[in-house]
Amino acid sequence: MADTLAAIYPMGSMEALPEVELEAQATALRMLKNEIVGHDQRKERQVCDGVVDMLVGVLSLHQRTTGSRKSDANGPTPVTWSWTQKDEVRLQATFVICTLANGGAAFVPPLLAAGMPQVLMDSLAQTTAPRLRTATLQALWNIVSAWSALQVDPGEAASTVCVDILTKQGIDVLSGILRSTLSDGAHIQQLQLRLIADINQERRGLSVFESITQGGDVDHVNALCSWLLLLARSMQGHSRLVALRLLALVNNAVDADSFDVGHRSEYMQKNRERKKQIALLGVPLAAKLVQMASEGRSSGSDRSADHDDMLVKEQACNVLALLVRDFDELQVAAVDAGAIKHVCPILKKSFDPVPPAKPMWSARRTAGNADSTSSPPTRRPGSQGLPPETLHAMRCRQGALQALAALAEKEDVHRKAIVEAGVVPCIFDSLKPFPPDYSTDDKRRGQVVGPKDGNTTAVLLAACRAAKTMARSVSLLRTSLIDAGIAKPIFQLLHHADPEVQLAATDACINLLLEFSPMREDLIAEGVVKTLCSQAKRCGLGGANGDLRLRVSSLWALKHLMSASPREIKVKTLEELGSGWLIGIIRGEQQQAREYVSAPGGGVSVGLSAPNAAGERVDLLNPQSSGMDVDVDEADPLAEEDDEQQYGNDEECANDEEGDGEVMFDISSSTHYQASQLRSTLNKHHHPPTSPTATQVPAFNSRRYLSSVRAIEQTPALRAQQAEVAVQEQALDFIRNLLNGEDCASMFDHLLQLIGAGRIFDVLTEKLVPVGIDPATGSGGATSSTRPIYGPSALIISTVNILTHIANALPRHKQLLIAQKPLLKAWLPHFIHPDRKVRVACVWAVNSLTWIDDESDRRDARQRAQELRACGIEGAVRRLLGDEDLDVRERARTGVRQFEQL
Amino acid sequence: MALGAWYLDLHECRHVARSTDTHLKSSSTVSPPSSIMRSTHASFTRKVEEMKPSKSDINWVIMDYLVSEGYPGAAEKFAQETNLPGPVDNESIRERVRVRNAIHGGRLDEAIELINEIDPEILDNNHLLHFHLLQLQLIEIIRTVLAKPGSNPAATDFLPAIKFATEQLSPRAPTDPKYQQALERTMALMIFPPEKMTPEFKELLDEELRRKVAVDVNKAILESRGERSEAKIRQLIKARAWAEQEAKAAKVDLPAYIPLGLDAADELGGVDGDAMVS
Repeated sequence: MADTLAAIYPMGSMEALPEVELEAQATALRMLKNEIVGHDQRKERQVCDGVVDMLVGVLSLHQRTTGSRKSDANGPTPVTWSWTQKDEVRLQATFVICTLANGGAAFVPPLLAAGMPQVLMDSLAQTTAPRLRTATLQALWNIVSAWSALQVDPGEAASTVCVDILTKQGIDVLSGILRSTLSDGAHIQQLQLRLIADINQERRGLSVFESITQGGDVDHVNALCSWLLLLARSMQGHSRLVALRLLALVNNAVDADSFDVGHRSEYMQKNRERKKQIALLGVPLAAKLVQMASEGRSSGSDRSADHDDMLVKEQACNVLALLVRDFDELQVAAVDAGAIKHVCPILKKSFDPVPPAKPMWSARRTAGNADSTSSPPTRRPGSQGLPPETLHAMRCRQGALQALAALAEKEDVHRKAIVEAGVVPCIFDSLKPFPPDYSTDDKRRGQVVGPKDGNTTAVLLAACRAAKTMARSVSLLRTSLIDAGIAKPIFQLLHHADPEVQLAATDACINLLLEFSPMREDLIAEGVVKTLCSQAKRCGLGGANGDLRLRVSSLWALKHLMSASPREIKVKTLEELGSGWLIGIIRGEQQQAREYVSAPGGGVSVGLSAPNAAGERVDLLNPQSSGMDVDVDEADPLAEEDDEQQYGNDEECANDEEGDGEVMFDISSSTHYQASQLRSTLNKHHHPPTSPTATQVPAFNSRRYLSSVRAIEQTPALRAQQAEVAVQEQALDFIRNLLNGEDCASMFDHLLQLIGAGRIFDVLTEKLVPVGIDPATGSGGATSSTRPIYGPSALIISTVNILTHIANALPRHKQLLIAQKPLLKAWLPHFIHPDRKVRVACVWAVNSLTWIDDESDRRDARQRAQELRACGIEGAVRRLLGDEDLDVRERARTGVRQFEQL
Repeated sequence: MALGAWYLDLHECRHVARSTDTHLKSSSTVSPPSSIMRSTHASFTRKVEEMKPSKSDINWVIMDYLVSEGYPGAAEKFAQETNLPGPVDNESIRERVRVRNAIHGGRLDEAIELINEIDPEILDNNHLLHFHLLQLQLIEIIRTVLAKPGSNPAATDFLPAIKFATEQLSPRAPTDPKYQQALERTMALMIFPPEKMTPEFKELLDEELRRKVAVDVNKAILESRGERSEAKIRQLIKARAWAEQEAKAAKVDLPAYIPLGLDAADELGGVDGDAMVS
């Protein structure tokens, strides 16, 4: 075979390789391809002989020589295309790569060591010849899917190899191809589409699809979705699944993109039509594929390809999950189509033992790996990974768990149906990782990793998600989930080596630590407090977003733990966290979090919807109080967690059900507020085309403005700020829950003792004053704008609720609070906050302050009322008697009555 | 529901007709029940006649058949005659024709190379199909030895066959009993002289096997291109057979034999094939 290699890649200059030699090269490559197709053992031998380096050489060399006709991937394919001998050589070389990568996980290390993905991406950028393009995409896909098999290898936990083709350049190339693909629908393009969708799925990347849907209006998107539905219906098996996956990706990308306030009702109407179409035509198809996968039927009419059926089995549930995640109406449609009935057997079946495949026979003795370490990495095949049967079971299991997690997201009925299907023990079993000493190399010693031996990381993540959404049902929490003993494996996963698993396990813990959760005691006994506290504190300064996500989730869980816990637990947790650390977190350790305010011209914030108490998506159709608000839903990883809040906070907030969005610009008061997720960072480069005032509002609906906002939002800096605010919110709520309950007074005394009254009230004041203003002096700061800009309303609500709790403690605490003049001054503007939840919270706090505890307090109460009157708060409460919100009006009425009784 | 009731009515008519028929033997009057019975069949025939599929639909089905079964020349001619647009990708049809011809002609190495040229994924992923092709190739190697004139072939004559089996087929054999059995049977061809072979071995030498594999290959190529793996007309015929079976199971009164019109015998044989009438 060495001869063939020599023929393929003669050393020396190939710049001027004559046509004849090119032909010889193509022939040699063709021979090589025919030699290895269908023969995995030969592939391995070829790799050891150095074929990978040779292929890289051939491809990169011809890329350079063909650079002169570098094609425009965005343009239409030229009608006349002359196939050259060089193209032929590249095609054959690409075919060989396809075939090698098909050999499985073992071939990934050498291909990656040679930088093959990048070479292929370069090749893709330079060609418009459909055959070559298709083959290149196929090769990329084969590498990515082999790589994903390697990822789940428990023996490769520390594997650092990664395929990163979705670089900026890679995304440009792929979306360029997609654009030309969508414009002409020849079958070869359809195939390319399929491959691109698959590559994206493996990386869970939405980016490519976001870039096509971006800038497209809702009609365009709806047309695209209709076309994909049509495509899905006209296809069979795996191709149908791919079309549905694309549909889901486009739909999700659009949803993340939905802020076209201009023709709001029309826009919403069209969005609803699309959802309806997907519910009626798309979701049942996906459910049908799940059913076929579950019943082991072949998906086509009479398919010979087992390969296709296997892919359907592995991916059908995943696609269903992707389609219905975040959309409750689609979840209902899926369950109506029998999704739960068909998903559950797949999950159960994934635990059935499978007979391992018998190894291939070889006439030669397989060469020992004695000298393998001495050979270069491009000639060294890696581990084969999990046995294919086990891998298949793992993928089916992961998909089924994803689907269950998505179906159990919103509806309690669905959760009950899942429990009735008897799969809770399977979820439990899916939470156990492979034992640490497990290695796939064990099979050489006669031991084979079977489907019952453990779970891959992907399965663990999916199982945590399923546990999380199932635990949203209070009744299940107290029945089937406790019976299944779900707390213990989740607690153990908190210590898993993979940070993503840790995060998912922490998220799952959040609901298990609720006041009414019977698992709370067990988890505390296991030492969950220490673990969560150390997780919360662990992330380093300036750390990546991922670190902050873990901090947010850990604080969230601890916050739940604080509510209605015995005093010892509260004290111990606070001690574990450290009061100094907590205060630091609330103030925002990184002061750059305050720098975002310097919006030139006091730019209007385009806000995200705040998580509402019920965890619902905000209904854009219901007009807000001011009628001019801009609210946006975003598929933010943090926002996903929002619904956990429904149990978390104390009673003032617990009965807030109706959805509402952040109001960013309140016409009546001309006050600017920041979105809860801090979207207001409009720097000079992305300055909106109009300076928004009440009369100019319609102008800022322009798409250009929106896409500029979008561009800013995607900056890592803003993401970090969003995470920072989420951390602060959880930390404030931690204190809020700490103070809630019977022992409010003693806990506040404890805080006073630990932190000191001065520091506590300074921090609270800081949260209420306009951003960028020094709380001490009340002036200056980064913004010289005449209009003050306040912090996100989530933080204001949390802060005001803490005030309420302080006011609910002993009379002397009330007196202490009323003595905080700067705090009262900072508080006043929020009585006209456009968010009704803020206004309600404000009045609650006043009512607590004016409450007369006992006769001895009467004199003090009167004095407090005078203070409140002096600083204008009483007037503010009176003005709220005419508030448009009933709840606010009622609270205000009580408030005014209390004032009058004094 | 209404439809079900209608079926029931027909069934009862038929029942009545049968009993009156026996009665008729003694009477020479024209029997109305018989005409009722005839009218049900007649209504089926009438319905058939009323269905007037458009000519262009039929032409499309024919074109589809020619394209997917791989008749590029005929497809082009047909396109000219019927004013239909010609096959979109004539080259891809020709590719499949070349593969088919190679398999039919017993040139399996050529066929495999052609398939790998179309898309190496096909055989790399479909191990069974690859094995079948290699098995055919082994059969061809053995066939040439067996076909040599003269007495029994010497053992050494089979060396190339054994070498081929060792290199190409054996690695896959232990992974599944079906591979192992197929390989063993094929190897057995070297042991028995052709005249003493049992039918199961003779089958392997039958050229029908080539045609079977060729059909599978054609399907696999079509599928790899994301096309329907089978001509539409085959699906239509299957759908018709299924519908007929369902209708009979539901006891709808149909002529006992509904010709497809594909065989000449159909045209001559009883169009009104109801045995009951005669």
